[in-house]
Amino acid sequence: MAPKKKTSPLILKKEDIPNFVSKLTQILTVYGPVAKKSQFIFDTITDGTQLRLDYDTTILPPKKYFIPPEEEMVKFSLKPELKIQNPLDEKNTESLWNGKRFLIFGIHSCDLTAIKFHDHILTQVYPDPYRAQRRDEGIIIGVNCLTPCEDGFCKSAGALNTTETADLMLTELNNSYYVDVLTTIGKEIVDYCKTQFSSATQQQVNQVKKIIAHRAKSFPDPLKEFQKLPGQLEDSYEGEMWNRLGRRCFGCGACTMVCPTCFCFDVKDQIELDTTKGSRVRKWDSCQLVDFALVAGGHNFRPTIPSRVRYRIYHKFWIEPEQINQIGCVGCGRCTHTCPADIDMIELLTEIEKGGN
Amino acid sequence: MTQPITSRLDKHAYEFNQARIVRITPQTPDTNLYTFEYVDPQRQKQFSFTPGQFMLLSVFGHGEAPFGICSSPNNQDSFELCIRSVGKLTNVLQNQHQGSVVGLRGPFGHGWPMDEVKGKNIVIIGGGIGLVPLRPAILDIIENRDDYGKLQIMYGARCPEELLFKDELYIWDNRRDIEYVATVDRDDEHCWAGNIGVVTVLFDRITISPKDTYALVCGPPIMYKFVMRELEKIGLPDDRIFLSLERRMKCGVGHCSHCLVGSKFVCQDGPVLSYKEAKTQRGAV
Repeated sequence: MAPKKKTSPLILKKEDIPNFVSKLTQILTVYGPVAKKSQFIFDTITDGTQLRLDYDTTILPPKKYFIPPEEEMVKFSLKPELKIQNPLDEKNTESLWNGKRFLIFGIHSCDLTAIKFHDHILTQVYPDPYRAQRRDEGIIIGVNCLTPCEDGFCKSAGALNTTETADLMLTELNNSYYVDVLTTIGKEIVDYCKTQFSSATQQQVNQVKKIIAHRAKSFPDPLKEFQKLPGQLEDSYEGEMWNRLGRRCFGCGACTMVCPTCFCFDVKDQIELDTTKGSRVRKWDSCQLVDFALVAGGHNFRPTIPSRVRYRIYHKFWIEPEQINQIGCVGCGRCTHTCPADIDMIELLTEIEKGGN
Repeated sequence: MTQPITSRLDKHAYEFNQARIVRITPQTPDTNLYTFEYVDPQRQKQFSFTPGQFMLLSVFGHGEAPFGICSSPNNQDSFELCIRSVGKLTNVLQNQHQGSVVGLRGPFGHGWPMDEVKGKNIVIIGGGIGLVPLRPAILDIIENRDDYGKLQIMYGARCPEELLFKDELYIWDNRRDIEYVATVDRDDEHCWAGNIGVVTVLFDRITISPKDTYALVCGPPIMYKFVMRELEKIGLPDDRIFLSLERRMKCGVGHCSHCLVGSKFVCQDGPVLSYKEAKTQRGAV
């Protein structure tokens, strides 16, 4: 919910961040970027010093806190008779959500854009109840990127300046963080740790404006015609490039597993060892895997790797814009970084811009 | 966010209701017609659907899959699903017996445009198990025969044993107000006196006038291209041809993305789409 009165920006000293985070962990489950060998991951923060706001990108996006890799959809018991616990029965809300709010600290604009994307794509017909619950309970502290990461192209994807979905937005300013309070929940968080914040001076406000304006110039913009992609895809649908790509792609699905906007899932029933009860769980699925479009009787609507690679690109850059007017890519570069066949998203999209032949 | 997403939740989407199998009528060696009644009589009373809509049936512990509703929309007491055993869930279902309880969600999706076709001539083209979601439309037309124009039914199966609803086919064949033609791909047992060949051979056996005529088509994916070609040849405009698409589905409510064709969810925008719509969606037909 938007604050009634705009809260003026605040300053949080870098040295106070560990204390701030530790204080938050007393009332909330806090997740944030932490180091893992040479990379970073989003993980549970138990001590404020673990937080690494200087991270470039994480292996998995914070999507996992809203759409977990595996989650229970419904519980059932089979003996002595069938009993189903419907997920939305008020009595059963506990099975969906344990009632404890959580906070994700330090989400970059690309991943904020992806959260906004899911807010739209997963509420088209019926809101996805499982994600909706988590989304409403989650508090988000975003942090502005000031230096581009290795494979990212967020500027081209129009995701560089997103602050939407964040409750607080941080910008690094010398030895401090400049804090924009964007929602009432953000205000509550700030109020809870009042002593650690001070008001930003007009000079600091101007400085941050300048930093943000300047940053736009330092970020790469390899795909100038990003918004024209839907039309270009229409032209390249039968292009030879899909066969070439298909020969390189292993069909492993890693690109979709690390993608902040991918949301497809598979559903499986799991029975406990005593066979009296079980649960239906949904798990992340990938359109790159061979059985994604396989139907009973053996017909596969996308039997080949080229057809699946093409589908992924079409889904993100043509279908989704048509559905919700937002491209299903935020330019985070994780797919490029992860691909074992070195398929580079920027190269791929550039090829489409050139006609795909 | 201006409004919590949870405030917009619809209970319908993931709500399971228990239904009892009250009758199992074998159709072919691997296909049964199951008659269901909701365990909760109130739920059964409220249940209504449009011909062409589908249900998601769960055998808990074994999974969930979509099946077209097969019975007349005018029957309030029970409803039917006609299911061929071809996979994990359907094989388990074949071992269920009268009285077994399953989980059901739905009905979901957009069915045949029954209001639009009122007063019009209707050609129904079914291939194999594709006759299943067409049967509610046929039954509705028969039960309200005066509301509709000419009814022509074209039905193709792989072999004579695989013809579904054999008793009804006989009745359709003998009614003066229905023109019924059928074919089988092959007849190894030499027990079939009718047409041999894929469903498109029937276009030579029947005269379809494009005037005021709608076509409702359902069959295996390969069938559509050829049937569409024939219907276009006759001069039927593509906004009067409707087809029911089959895709892998996991959720039925536009979340899991398995069933997308172009920008349409087969589960919600379909399964019935006009050929005009389907044509513009990459990979639909």
